[in-house]
Amino acid sequence: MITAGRHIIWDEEACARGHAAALEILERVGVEVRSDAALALYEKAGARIENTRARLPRQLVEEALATAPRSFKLRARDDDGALDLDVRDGPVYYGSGSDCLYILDPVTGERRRAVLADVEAGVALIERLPNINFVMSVWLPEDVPQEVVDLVQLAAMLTYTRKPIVVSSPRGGDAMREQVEMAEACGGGADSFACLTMTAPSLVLDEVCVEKTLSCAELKVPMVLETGNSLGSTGPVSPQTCAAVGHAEIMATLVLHQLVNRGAPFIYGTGMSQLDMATTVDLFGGPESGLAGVLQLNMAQSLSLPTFDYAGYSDAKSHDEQCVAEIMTSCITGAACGGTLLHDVGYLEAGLLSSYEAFIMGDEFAGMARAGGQVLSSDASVFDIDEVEEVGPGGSYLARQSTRKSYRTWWRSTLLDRTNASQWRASGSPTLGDRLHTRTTDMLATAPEPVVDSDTASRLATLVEQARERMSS
Amino acid sequence: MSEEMYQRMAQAVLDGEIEIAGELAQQGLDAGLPASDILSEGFVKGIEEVGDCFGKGELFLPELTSAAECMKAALAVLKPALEAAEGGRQVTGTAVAGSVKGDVHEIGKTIVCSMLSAAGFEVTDVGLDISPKTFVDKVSELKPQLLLLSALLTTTMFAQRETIEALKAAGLRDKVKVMVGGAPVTQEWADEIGADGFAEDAIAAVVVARKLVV
Repeated sequence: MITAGRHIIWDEEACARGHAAALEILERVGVEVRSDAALALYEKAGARIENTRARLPRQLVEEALATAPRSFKLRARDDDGALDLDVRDGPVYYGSGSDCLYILDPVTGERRRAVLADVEAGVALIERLPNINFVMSVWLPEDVPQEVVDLVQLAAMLTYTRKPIVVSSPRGGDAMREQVEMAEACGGGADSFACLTMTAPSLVLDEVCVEKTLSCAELKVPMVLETGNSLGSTGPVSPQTCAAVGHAEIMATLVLHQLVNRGAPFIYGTGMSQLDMATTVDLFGGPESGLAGVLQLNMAQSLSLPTFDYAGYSDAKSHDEQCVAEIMTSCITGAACGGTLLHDVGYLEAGLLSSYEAFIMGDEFAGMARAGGQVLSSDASVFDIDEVEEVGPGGSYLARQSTRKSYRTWWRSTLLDRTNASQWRASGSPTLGDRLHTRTTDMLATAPEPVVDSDTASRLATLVEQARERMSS
Repeated sequence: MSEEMYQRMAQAVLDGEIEIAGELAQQGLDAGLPASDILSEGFVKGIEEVGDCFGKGELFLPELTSAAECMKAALAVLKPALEAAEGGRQVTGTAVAGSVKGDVHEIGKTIVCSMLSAAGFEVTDVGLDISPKTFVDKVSELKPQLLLLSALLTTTMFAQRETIEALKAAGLRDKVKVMVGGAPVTQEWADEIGADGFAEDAIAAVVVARKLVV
């Protein structure tokens, strides 16, 4: 629903027009489907198939929307379920990103290829960050067998965090069954991780996208479908049309997903970027593509679907002022727009680079954004006018019980300086960068702590090895 | 008369008027102008200016790619006449480019093709999801100086290696310089798989391509 307290660009009526435009795209243009199995499913359901093009009547979309669940749990592996995510349009959760190629080394500051030890240390660190609610792999390690890199990443995540996981494996089918088996080996299952799938390029469902869609639906692994359109290059330059195209891709995939298994969990992703037309870099932080992303988000919200959006990223190459500004701004706009799962906290360099410092900073601003982005009730009961009368004009609320009870729920900064000037000078006048470095060094001083016992860890390693053997035979 | 026509051709490239570029090429031939002059005095002047302005930050990717499309449209019309003419066409170099097997991403490769066209290369874009065998066939057929292999994904970059191996198996490896590119590709990877060149972006790709065809 489009609700108060949110930054919205399109209201219900506007969203209905955007949705109608997407339905028209699906009827007139259709989607290119590079899978015979998927084409057969579409055709049987009543789509018009011409070679590999499927044109979908709007009724198919309506049927899919009628059965797509609006709410489900993404289960954590903690004892009391406190870390579970209530996946629906409403709560906002932050998570890391996945598959960055490079890391800014925390000791040398050098930009280098990431290795498995980075993934393990990173995930273990995110486990300790209170405002990061779900975990993606952060890095793509180069020192492991690349044919099973997705399973190695998953093993590292299952070993070092209890938080819900979003995997970005490039394969469905057997790989997804292997992932479910790995999750089950350590107290999780198909409901304790979600699978990120992307359409790319626009209005094309390639083999990987289809394979993952079919597997997610069959196994009931929550599926995140994200469009990857870039304004003016892979997608139309108009934010409205680009949003309608992205929405059409998601509706087409949702149709396929629900045809396989009605009621299987689905999350609407709003990927959108734009090329810098001078440097050719595909930007994360472009305001126009951000705008188009909000249009897609609003359309998903008007359908009450849970969503997958972005927060906590920067196009900067180091922990400089741009990095702080973009991570902070995107954390705040992410919360204000009200996406359900906000990923890519700690992404730098347009998604090629990440660092421990970047997600520690992201955790800080995510906490601040969540505190400042709360949707507050205006029920008559929230106005304590009796207390205002008791204290009276000019009185103090400092010693009141109400103050004592409430102020502890305020967000407390762990990085931003809130001392007075003499205290700050006395502590050596540290900058935000200095404090970030100190906190990162402190947090990394503790070795990554597994959340599973050694038997489970070796079981995970065995499962990865077996998968590798199966693939090579 | 011919000078005015050449100026209109250059202007069509600057304006990104793809259909008009093709029409002007035909009008030039109909008026009896030599195909090589139509190219060098008309269209190439336009794309050189676009390339210069891009370098100076006055024009951007949309102008560059539409200018390259104009060149393609004009060349399609001029090609028979150019081939018939003695000496053929003067180009900076020749290249075949495509996204490797399994990779359906277009933009990066298209930008590189546009930049190379703007720098005077004759580029044949063979498209997406191209198998090693198709690349080998294209190299054998077109005999380009450069073969450019694009891969956006860490999962598809392995097909760059496969393609190079297929060139070796077909006895063509020493006939063509291979350049690799794409987001996950690095100089180390290029060295490992025995590519001749790597560039981090399309602008650098032109510099590398020029060096390789000398």
